[in-house]
Amino acid sequence: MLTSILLSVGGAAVGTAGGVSIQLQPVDYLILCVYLAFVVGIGFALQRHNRTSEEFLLSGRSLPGWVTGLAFISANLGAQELIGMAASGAQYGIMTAHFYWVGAIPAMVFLGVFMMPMYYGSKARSVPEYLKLRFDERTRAFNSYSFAVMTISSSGISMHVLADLINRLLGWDYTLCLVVTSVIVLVYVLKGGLTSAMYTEVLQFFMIVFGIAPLAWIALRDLGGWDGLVAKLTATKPEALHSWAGTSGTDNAMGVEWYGILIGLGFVLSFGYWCTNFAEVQRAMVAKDMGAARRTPIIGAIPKMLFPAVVILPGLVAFALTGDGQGYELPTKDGVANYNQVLPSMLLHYFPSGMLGLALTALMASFMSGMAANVTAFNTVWTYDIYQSTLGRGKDDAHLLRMGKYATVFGILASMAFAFVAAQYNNILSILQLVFGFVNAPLFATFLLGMFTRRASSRGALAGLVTGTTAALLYHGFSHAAANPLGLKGGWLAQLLGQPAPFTLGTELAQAFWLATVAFSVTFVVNLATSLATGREKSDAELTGLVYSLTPKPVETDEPFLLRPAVLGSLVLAVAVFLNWYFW
Amino acid sequence: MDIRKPIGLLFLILGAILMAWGAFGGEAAAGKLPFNLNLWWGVVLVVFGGAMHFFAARAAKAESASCGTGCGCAKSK
Repeated sequence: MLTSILLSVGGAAVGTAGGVSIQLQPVDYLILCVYLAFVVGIGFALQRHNRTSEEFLLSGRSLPGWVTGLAFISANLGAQELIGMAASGAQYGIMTAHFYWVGAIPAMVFLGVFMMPMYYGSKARSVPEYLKLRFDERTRAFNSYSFAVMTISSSGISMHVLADLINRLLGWDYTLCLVVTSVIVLVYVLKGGLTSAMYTEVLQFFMIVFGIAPLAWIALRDLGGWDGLVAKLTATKPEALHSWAGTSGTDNAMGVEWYGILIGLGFVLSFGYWCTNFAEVQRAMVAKDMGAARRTPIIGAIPKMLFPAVVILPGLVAFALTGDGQGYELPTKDGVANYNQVLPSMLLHYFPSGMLGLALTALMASFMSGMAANVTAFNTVWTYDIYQSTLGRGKDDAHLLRMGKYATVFGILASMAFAFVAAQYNNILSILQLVFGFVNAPLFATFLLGMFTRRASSRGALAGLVTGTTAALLYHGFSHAAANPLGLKGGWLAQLLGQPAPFTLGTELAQAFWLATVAFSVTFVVNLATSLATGREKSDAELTGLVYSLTPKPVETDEPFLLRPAVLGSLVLAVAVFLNWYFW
Repeated sequence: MDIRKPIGLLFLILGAILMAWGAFGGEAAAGKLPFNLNLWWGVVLVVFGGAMHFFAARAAKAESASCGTGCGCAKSK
């Protein structure tokens, strides 16, 4: 979701003519076919392990921590992130790493250490179900319906960007790409359930490591290695190597002050995504035991921290190489740098066929598993939260399993439909990332209160959610990024009233950060105030296992010291702090 | 089914493909680099695939050893 912000910030949406096209050799197609055959084969091989709804939708909650950990980050690692981060790296430099070192890492550690005991211990089958146990059906309904829409749209966007990219790079027909890739995902998810989706996410992780990671290392040779890169950038654009440069004010690439980065990105937006998005949390919730569940996001955080070397570094190198006479130049469109084409153009320039096939297969794999992750989250929320609480009350498990399969088919079809819509209306992406911001930040405030204070009540939760989302809407109506005209991207309320927008931010990113902060704060305050005013609805006994103070502390003494979530999490945080310091 | 088995097999196959292409592919496979990327990276992939397969086999052996006879252990994923 955050990557959509990057894509629109990084320039034209992927898909406008970039002038990069690739000729593939038979060996490249062979590699792609082998990969696809494996992915479908895994689905079929897992058929016999998908006989109950819990096995199909929740992997029978039996997966080991390393699998869930890698799936956790792969589910989010769509090709949009690969392309968007490279684009952002070329345009803005190492500041892009904030999305990782300030954003994702703290959120993931917090989820593992503090929130998983409640998510996992409550035996909730989904994030909305936790809300029902903690609050009431209305809160669950708010979450499940908004999540269902959001996750299908994410899926649709993934597929649209994939089909569009292949169309641009290889010239294949857009609709054909869309249909073929959707059918492949449908087959392996329908046959193998969540397990198959998660297994292919792990596969995708290794494909990206082996297919894309070598790029930065090879390109660095042209610059004389890391030292050469540092020398070149220090001479031409020193802020590209300093992630906090210019953050005492707004005179930096993101247009946000350091406290805006910490609160808006580091806290609200990233915690709001990583800690409440069921497509992510689901992967941790299906681990085989509490220790594995808590370790899942922390294990995932380790490669995640190193990913800037895979995704952002190529962008930095691309920028440094331009104008050097080394043979590589930043791709341009109408004379302006087209950052979204940085990764494809670097791949084409450096990789011979064979390696190129591996890299492209890795990109395709990422898109497809993005769709699979969203669809497996959707079918679970549909079956357990939307259906079972309304029409499906009292139905037996075989019925629920069937419903889960129908939901899978429906999810894929709806994603495809959404992809077509996204292809028609470029603005859809911007509108969507707004919706995510409106919904995620208030939800996170609700979870925070729900999990860490007994006093938060259902009345408070609903009041908070409604006012918070409204506040977000209002802020959006009255704010805009300086370069944008008043309208869909912000300031529409001001426009309606014929006034200038009272809140003018330097960049869209800044607007997104402050919008999320406003939404979070309003939800938090209203929830707390209403809860305290109207009193508790549930007793301590009813809240056992749902609130931090009423949950028995997980036993860690029989785990090896380094594997204990608090210890591992602290280590991960320490490295993240070090990285921030090193690239200060 | 232990995920390490298909991962191991996939990378063994992909590595073999890259190695063969790097060794026999001629101009197209060599690319512009001074070293044979396809060949060497193919070796890396094969080693990784082999390692994954080894870990999977070792885990399977440990499990059947601890299971013994008349145990009724369910086959793990």
